[in-house]
Amino acid sequence: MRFSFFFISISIFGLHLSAQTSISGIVLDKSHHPVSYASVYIDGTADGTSTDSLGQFKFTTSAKGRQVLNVFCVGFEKYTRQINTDSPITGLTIEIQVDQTSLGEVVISAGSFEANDKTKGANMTPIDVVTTAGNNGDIANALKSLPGTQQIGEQEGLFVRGGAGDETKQYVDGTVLKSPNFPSVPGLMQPAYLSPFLFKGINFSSGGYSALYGDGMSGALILESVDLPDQSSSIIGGSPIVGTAGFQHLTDNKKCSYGINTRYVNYNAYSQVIPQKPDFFKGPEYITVDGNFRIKTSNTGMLKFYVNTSYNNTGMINPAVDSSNLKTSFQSQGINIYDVLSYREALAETWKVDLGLTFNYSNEQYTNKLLNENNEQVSLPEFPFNTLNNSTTVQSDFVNFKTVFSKYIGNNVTIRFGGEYKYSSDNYKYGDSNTVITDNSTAGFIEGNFKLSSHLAVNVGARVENTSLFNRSNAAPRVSLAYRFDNAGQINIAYGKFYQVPEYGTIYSSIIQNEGVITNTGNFLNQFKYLNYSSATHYIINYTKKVNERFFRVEGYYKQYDDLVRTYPYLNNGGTGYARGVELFWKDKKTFKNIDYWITYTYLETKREYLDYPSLLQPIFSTPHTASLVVKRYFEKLNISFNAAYYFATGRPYYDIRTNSASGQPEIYAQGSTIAYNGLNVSIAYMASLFKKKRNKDFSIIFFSINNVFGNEQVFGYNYSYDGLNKVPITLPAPRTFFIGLFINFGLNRTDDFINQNL
Amino acid sequence: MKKTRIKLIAGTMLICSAMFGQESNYTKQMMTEIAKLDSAKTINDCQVLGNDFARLSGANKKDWLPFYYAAFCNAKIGFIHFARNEKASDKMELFNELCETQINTALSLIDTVNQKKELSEIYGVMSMMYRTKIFISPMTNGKKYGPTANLYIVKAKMTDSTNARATYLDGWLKYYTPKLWGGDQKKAKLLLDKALQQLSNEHPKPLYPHWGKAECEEILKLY
Repeated sequence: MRFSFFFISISIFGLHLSAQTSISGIVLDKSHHPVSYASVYIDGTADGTSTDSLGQFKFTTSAKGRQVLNVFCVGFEKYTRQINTDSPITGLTIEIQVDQTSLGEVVISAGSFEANDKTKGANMTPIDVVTTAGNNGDIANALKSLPGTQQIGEQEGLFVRGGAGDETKQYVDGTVLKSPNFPSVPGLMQPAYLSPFLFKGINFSSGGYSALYGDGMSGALILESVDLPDQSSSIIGGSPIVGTAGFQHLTDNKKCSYGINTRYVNYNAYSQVIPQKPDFFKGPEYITVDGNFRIKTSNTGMLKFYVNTSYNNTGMINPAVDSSNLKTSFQSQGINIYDVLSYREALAETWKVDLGLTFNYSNEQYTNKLLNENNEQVSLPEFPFNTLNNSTTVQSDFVNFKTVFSKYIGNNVTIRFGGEYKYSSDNYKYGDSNTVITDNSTAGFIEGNFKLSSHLAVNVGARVENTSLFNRSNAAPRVSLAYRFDNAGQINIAYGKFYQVPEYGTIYSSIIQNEGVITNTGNFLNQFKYLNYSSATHYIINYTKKVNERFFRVEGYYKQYDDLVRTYPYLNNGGTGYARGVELFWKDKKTFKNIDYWITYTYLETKREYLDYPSLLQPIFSTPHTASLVVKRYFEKLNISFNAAYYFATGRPYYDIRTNSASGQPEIYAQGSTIAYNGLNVSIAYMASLFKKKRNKDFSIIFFSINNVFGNEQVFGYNYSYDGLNKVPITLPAPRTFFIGLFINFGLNRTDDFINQNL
Repeated sequence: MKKTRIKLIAGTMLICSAMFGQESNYTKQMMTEIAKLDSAKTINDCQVLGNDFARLSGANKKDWLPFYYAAFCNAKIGFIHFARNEKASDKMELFNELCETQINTALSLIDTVNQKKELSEIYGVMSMMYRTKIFISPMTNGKKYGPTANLYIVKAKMTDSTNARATYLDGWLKYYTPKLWGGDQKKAKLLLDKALQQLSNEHPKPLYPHWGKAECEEILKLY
């Protein structure tokens, strides 16, 4: 008995040790390249190995019978296969698939560039955007380094694919940002009200955007504000131009934060040292005080409030275009108050609600004067001099309320729907006349996002809008889809219709510019109220490919503009236009060590007949070829961040359009093309701790930048005299812009944040 | 009757021997892999070792150690990247994600109240995991994860003041933080020397973390 027991146990033990089955083969990817360092093993056991550099593997297992063979390698889908290990297996060929989830979900990207904290690899991050050299603290300027935008240097705003500046709208947390920039000053780009560091998500759409948004028929800049900060902090900073101070407090339970920031900007001292072309008799001066309050209302709820109060005062004297011994003075002075309240919460497991409420008040006074050589005001009875002494006050109230419900059905379907209401009242006081334009507009929208497979996503939406101003309605369909190939390349297609209420201010200033006065404002207003929406239809196709740290995009589009406003012979919607083009984008973080760069090329062919254009013309804010190169390098050990941006654009057309007194029709009396545009902007930020010994270490930044380093001559267009005999180039106030500043930050390490904020 | 009993004994023996065999086999395998840690110099070495530990964890799902070591290997990939001053690639993020899952699994397998030594070791790797996120994108993640990565070093030291690896990580931080930001290479040297001292005094349980010598020496060599 004992004997047999030993026999049994020995034989079992022997079996246990000796019965090893060998398994060998090769692991390949879809294009039959070997996959090295993949883990190959028998499920539930530790038996296995890693493939060598040629993708080959060989191991032994003691497992018997039917087993599951697993292959795992980062970036690939887990592979499993039934095998029988009773006898040795050789020459296995295993093909593994790229893991689509490691590439992220298929995100439809026709027409859009997205930058948020979640972006991976070569994609844009908010820091990439805000550190782009020469952006002057305005996200819109930084986005001029992306394809689809025009290099407009004399005016703020984004001029997208043949669209005018007021055809690209900005949104903060869903609601409309009525005035992104300080009020326009002729020939001078105005700064943005909001700091670019308020935002954690930046989505720039040059067309084909979601049905949740309306109004901008050429483009949309959709911004998402930051939530709670990581910790409390305070900042103080100064330069010859700007002084800033502020704090941000995070409560101990980390559920609530509040803060105030103040900024005072005055170019007076600066223009004493660096002569400016217009003679500034006031400022430019800007004061901003902003405050925020954010509270986490539950695990999924977040309430945010932001208020920005700003004052501006700019006064300048230019030689008069119409007379060599006279001058004109322009002054713009006023205040702007902007509030935005947003709330988001998960209602039930699969429901979410987003609420947004915006209020904007502004009061701006514009004063034009005709001056003699000694800068004394004069009035002359003859035209056009009799129109050059005037004052306009524009007072605006704006309210926007928006609700969006999201319903998640499984993992692959999201339905969003909701509505919004907008109230705007603009009061124009010009001389004795007082014109009030009031609009109550409503919109409803629905959109479905369907992830049909790991390769295919479709977005279908529609938006209906109504405006009380014209008493008109419209319906705008939007469709987009994306298909991703196994090699991570992706095709995106979008179609959409976009409506916009023509802006009274734009039309008004166009007429003022040509005729000096509006003789019959009552009649003009009546004509305005008979207008309809202008619209654009977008057709977009693109191909993108992201591999590791490189990103390539080529996009082609066609856009049809309809019902554009013409000012002759009376206000009407008879204008049309089109834009078509091809754009290239290449971003690379890999080729050059420690260097991140991107290159863009924009080809644009566009014509439109609108305002006083007598026929289909290439608009003055467009040019066929634009290119840009952005380079960023962060010297980690030196704590220096270096940024450069170079822009090139072919010349822009300019026209002398005046009314032919015989026919009463506008006519082109002269036209031409400006010189090509060239400019290099460079910025250097040095980050250091000035008071290392203190318990609360500071993080300080010395920031230095030059815009237009080589002082290239930049001509954006020409102003014509009323007789057409004299033309004056619209150019930069000085060939170069310099900035140097020191910003000391206590508490939070917001090193990167402050690099460009205060420029 | 007797036959049955024998069968029963034999069966029990069979199971025991199989279990014991496997257990010892597992210990042996773990020991072999752990021995390889000090010589893992390249990313590929770490990936292969990470695979090995991941396989061992698959076969021993209750033991925190293979998860811990797998996470350590995947975090070390980031550190090697950094030391070579290479730019992070997309794969770095995937290794980091893998590391995060593995270290969290390790954490879930220990008793955080009573197993202080184990907890301290896990905190050390968690610090490395967050540090790796910073390497991937210093501009975006530095602000976001910097404080967390530092916090886990402090936690690791507080949980077990004799943890040589926590001291090493502190030394690493002091060495690589620029002077202007409070980095201090003299202090770093002291910390690394202290870590080596702690390592020589260490008598870890079998299979418990003992790495750090090669890591300390690699930095000390730069002085």
